[in-house]
Amino acid sequence: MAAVAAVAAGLALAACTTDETGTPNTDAANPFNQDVWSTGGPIDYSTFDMSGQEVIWADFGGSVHEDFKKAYLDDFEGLTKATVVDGSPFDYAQVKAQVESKNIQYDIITGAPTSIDQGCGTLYEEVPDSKFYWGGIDDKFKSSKCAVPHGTTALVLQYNTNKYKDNPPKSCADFFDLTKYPGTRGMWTSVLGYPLEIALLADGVAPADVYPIDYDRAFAKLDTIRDDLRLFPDLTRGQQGQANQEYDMIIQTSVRGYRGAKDNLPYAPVWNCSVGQVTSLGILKGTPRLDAALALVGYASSPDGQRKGATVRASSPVSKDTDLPDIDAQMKDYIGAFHEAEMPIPVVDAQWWSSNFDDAEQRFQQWQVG
Amino acid sequence: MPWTGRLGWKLLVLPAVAWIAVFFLFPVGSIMLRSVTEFSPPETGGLDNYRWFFDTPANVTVLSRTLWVSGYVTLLCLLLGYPYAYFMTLTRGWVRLLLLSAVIIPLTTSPLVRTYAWLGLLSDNGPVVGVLDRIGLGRPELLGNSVGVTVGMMHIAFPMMVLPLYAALLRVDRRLLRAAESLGAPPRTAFFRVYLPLSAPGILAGAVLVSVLSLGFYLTPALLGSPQQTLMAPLIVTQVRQVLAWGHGGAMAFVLFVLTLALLGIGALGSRGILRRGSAARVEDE
Repeated sequence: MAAVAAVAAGLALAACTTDETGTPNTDAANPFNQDVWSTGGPIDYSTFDMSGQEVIWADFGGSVHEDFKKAYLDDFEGLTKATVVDGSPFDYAQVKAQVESKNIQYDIITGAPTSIDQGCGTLYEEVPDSKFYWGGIDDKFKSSKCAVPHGTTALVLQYNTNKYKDNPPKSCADFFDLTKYPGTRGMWTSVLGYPLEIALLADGVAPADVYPIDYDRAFAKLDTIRDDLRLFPDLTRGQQGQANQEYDMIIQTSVRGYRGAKDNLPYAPVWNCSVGQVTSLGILKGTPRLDAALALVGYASSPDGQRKGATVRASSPVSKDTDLPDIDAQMKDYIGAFHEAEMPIPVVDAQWWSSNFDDAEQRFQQWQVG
Repeated sequence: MPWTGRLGWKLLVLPAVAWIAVFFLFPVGSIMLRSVTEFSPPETGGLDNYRWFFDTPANVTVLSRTLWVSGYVTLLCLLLGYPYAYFMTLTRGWVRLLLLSAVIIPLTTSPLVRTYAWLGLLSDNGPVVGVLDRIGLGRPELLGNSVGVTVGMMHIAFPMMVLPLYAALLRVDRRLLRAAESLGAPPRTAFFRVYLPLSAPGILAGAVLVSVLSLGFYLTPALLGSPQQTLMAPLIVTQVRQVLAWGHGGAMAFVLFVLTLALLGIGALGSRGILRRGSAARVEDE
């Protein structure tokens, strides 16, 4: 018990020197329950008393943030008495600038694991086993010691149900079949909209053989729909395009597809043409609020976080042990966990992506402007 | 009172110089520095980032497109803006106020909001296509191509053309037109030989503002166009924000910066020429 008290005192001291708000945490209670942390098992965050502790969270902002707030942040604040400050929206250039200048303005970011994997150890903190329970996440979703998976989404072919009433597309090949399915096609300008995977699947490549990506074959396939392809610069713009019914078919995230469905937009998903991806959390290297950040990252990726994420955002859990009660049929349409058997690529090859992202992104951009 | 002396007045410029040094020279300098010190493989040193820039066909395509778009947006703004500014000088009172407000009020709204407004207006099911359809012009695609981009860019650039033009045209002594006509010049000759040259400083100011502004467009072509309309700025953003290759981004930004300086230089030379011709004309008058 004395040891625990000493650790607590040490932590409180550390808080005194690092807390930027100028209100040192003098609470005698242990802000981070070391006993719970060190067991190596699932962590009960309700044993933490983080009053006076701040942690800054950043996502892409807007409705995305509203969802994360409802899914994790509000509950985390209620559970631990910590204060979560919204730093959204973030971008990866700011992460680099903040870490390089040692002026950390957000502690946690969430996005695709690629960038976090690439910057693991330099831009992002490695998550220590002593303060995080990795056992709650299935191995197939893990990509590096820095990227903590908290849900998966997918890029899914979605088609306008008014346009293709009785004869809906059923596969990636149909996305590229302009004779059988004339109409406009929507895709994201980023290579992380997985146009290369979709093109290869459409061209008959077996899902297991998609990686390493055959660029020539992928771009040759994309060339066949170039004239009917409308590329959108960000996912919000793609969603806006769905609202205007600009795209007869679109490769869009399942999460945004669900939002559209809630707004009664006439689109339906084709899980036979989908590419799953992990949504990860990363902690900025050198943050003075590391322990607080670890607690929030741990909570968001806990079974409770995964479950709430699914019910609020329509993301899919990253542990097969996470049960999903009370999910309505409309939401089930857009949650990958209910369609895993149909998905050609349930999760992208994170290793391939972290070593090839820069090259792939530049090649795709050149294809676009060419 | 020494502070009213020549030196004292010069000291007044210090805050501005400090401002420019901190918020302009320093960032531009550090961008330049990164373009020659930060490399992503396979580039290793020296001017590799610039070599990469000019060896990548997409970069060169987009650079020339950026110049071309900046040129024709400027021309279109001038063709629309000149009659508008001229008409403003003819009006008085509330009509002039109305014309002026129509140009200025959009400036108070964020370009992002205005661009999203165009997204709704120009969409396939939007009102513009609806009107075109009703008057028998069919249902043309206005988004995802250069039509949408041109409309969106002109909307944002238009005030930058009209305001300097209006200021210049207001100063033109319209009695000179009557004098020209009394000396036998038909209206067209009077316009081209008297009015137009006298309005040249306004044209030049507007053209420089609009063309420089157009070089940096980012959101408008991205949202209203397609990658086939991509300009330099989005390409830089990819390097800086997605790939985190700040050396590449620095080199691209610096190339664009040099082009902007060149445009400003041409503007400055042009204005000197105009002023010289203007004073020559005055000498002839005497």
